[in-house]
Amino acid sequence: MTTGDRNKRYGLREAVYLIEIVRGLGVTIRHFFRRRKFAMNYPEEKLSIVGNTKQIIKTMDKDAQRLSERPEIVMNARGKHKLLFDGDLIRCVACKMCETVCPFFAIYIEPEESRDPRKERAPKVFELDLTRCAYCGYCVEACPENAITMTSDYSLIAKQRPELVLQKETLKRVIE
Amino acid sequence: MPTFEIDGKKITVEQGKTVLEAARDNGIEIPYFCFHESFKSGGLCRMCLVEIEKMPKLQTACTTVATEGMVVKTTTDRVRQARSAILEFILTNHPLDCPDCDQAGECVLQEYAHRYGPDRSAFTEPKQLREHIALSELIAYDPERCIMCERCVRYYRDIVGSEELAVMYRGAHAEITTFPGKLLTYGYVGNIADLCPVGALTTSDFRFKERVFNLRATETVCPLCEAGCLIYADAKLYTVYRVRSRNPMVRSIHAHENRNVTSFYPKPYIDAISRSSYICDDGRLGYKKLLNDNHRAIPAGPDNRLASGNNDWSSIIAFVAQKIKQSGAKTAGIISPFATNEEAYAFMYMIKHAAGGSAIGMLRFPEAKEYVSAGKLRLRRGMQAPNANGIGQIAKAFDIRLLSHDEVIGSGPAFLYILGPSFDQMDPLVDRLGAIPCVVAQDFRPSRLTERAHIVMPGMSYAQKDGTYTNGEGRVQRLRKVVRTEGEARDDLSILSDIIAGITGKRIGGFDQVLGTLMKEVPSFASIDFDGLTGDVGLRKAAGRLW
Ligand code: SF4
Ligand code: FES
Repeated sequence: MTTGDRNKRYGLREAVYLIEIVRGLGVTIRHFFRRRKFAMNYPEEKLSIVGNTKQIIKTMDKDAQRLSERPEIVMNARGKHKLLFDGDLIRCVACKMCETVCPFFAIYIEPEESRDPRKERAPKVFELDLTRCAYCGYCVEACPENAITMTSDYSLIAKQRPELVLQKETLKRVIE
Repeated sequence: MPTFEIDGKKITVEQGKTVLEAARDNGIEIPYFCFHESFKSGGLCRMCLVEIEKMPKLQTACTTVATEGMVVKTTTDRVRQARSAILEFILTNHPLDCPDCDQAGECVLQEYAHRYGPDRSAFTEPKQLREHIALSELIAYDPERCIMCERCVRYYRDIVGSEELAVMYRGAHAEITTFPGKLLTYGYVGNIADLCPVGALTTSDFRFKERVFNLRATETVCPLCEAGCLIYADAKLYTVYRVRSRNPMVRSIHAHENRNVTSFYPKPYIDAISRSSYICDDGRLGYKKLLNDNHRAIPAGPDNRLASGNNDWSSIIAFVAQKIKQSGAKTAGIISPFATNEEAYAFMYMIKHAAGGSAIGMLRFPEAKEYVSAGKLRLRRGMQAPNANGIGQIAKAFDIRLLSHDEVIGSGPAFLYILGPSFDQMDPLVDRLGAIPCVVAQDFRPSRLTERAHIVMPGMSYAQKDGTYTNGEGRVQRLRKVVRTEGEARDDLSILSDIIAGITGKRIGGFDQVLGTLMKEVPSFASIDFDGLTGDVGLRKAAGRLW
């Protein structure tokens, strides 16, 4: 990376700038002739999902070229949330940690008695307002029961805003 | 007065004080679960172990009486190891379900486990799963979480005296039970939930309602009878979620508050605190029931038709002021004993000095009866309203004989001002109001009276305003604003003071100024400590002294 150094004495080549300008234009011109398509026909076409960040970073250096050419999304990127269920019992204990930690007040929980003998409470209402959510992932971090995760589902399209307020049922994902 | 040494500090205490109390009074922390100042120490939890010179074993600070020349150490490795071992032992069968547990955030066990506990447990076997037990309609008991400190049992034995609770079984199977087939009787049940240092006892009233770390505790007064017990009202934004007694232990672990309770309060008040360690169930549940559910009330008048043009405060106040001026000596008033001392002063000033009337009555509320199950504990006193005593004293200073509401209506006034809240107590009389040309109701709850009155001005509930109440014993106590307000409702005192300004052009000021006037003019207010009066928060600072 070239950052200016105040004390450095520049040679003629740098002081003139001209050569650097031509080099910069060269990059632009190279891309111009490559004719690569950057726009996608979303939502018919979608980003392909690959591995997780660790793998990506490993291959990044070697395969930098590949990454820059095919648009991809990493599997553990933060998208729409899921609430995990063990069989038909929800893992969430309605402790309101996520509600408390959420910087955008996107979560609303109302507790009730749980049917699970090992737990005392469960959410009667679990509302997650995706229009407020900033996908920071704090709720996932805060959850003491590993009951909420984020998926890589990034396509959040709805015709009306209320559709983006997700309920317990719409957030359900059963873990066997 | 023995003098002894704790952690190198020389301390002189009263004869008979335990090491634990002496340490706490002097700002040295000794962790404890089972000790409570209002009943006999049991030495049950072993959390308070300290090292005493010349004693071979560690001693429980809560049962060891401080004697001359004792040398106590609380920070040695032996003590630290003992604390951590005790906590490990207590946690062997504890479910560690803090996210599930309503107590998390104010749990003494949680706090101590963080501060003194071990970071792992030698106990790897599966923990017991145990059923919840209902001890009464109000209290659920979770034996898994219980640490067997027996505070609840000793409360029933020593304070209530009815021995309704007992420990059954032994060791890891021990649990708290009532007589087979019987539940605890309503009356003073809720207190055991305050006493329990962990989440084993929860009230059905607060269960699952809100996490305690989201609530803010405000020190205020219970308004449901003349005893005026001191309470904490825990609220978030517009809602009061629960009411607790000012139990010293629960208070002491609130992070944002003073941790060292007993040293925070000057000595003579400790008595008052331990008396206020308990409140009755009516107060616990009733506080919320009688609150404002009508946040969006708007002032209505002059016909009490909501749609009629000028329903804004300034025109209604101007209208009322003008009416009072016209009625002159035929102005009468009825005051509810829920009014604070300051409001009572403003009200009597308005009727007597501003208008020249003299017929002022006080609403009667039913008697607060002692519960059949009360045992030795007798808290409930007088009327089911907080301030009858204070209003009586202020009336005396104004040279007013307080009438009953019947007499006021019978005196044929031209203008009747009813300072609520009347809580339906006026309802039987509403039909007799027909003869009075103008009836004004200042109330925060809709009732038959507010339907019938010509003008309605929405005031505030006792959880929304500042003021003082004088309890049956004559102690002036501070009522504090607990929740925020929204909508059109206004502070009762400011409504009255605006009306007075409309009649006489003179302002009587806000809560603190009126209290200052009361101290000058009413003898029973003269001795109040006024030092801490700062800005708009009023007497907050002098809380400990304003009993
Ligand atoms: S229920 Fe609470 S107060 Fe009673 S013994 Fe158990 S831990 Fe102590
Ligand atoms: S407080 Fe001393 S043994 Fe419990």
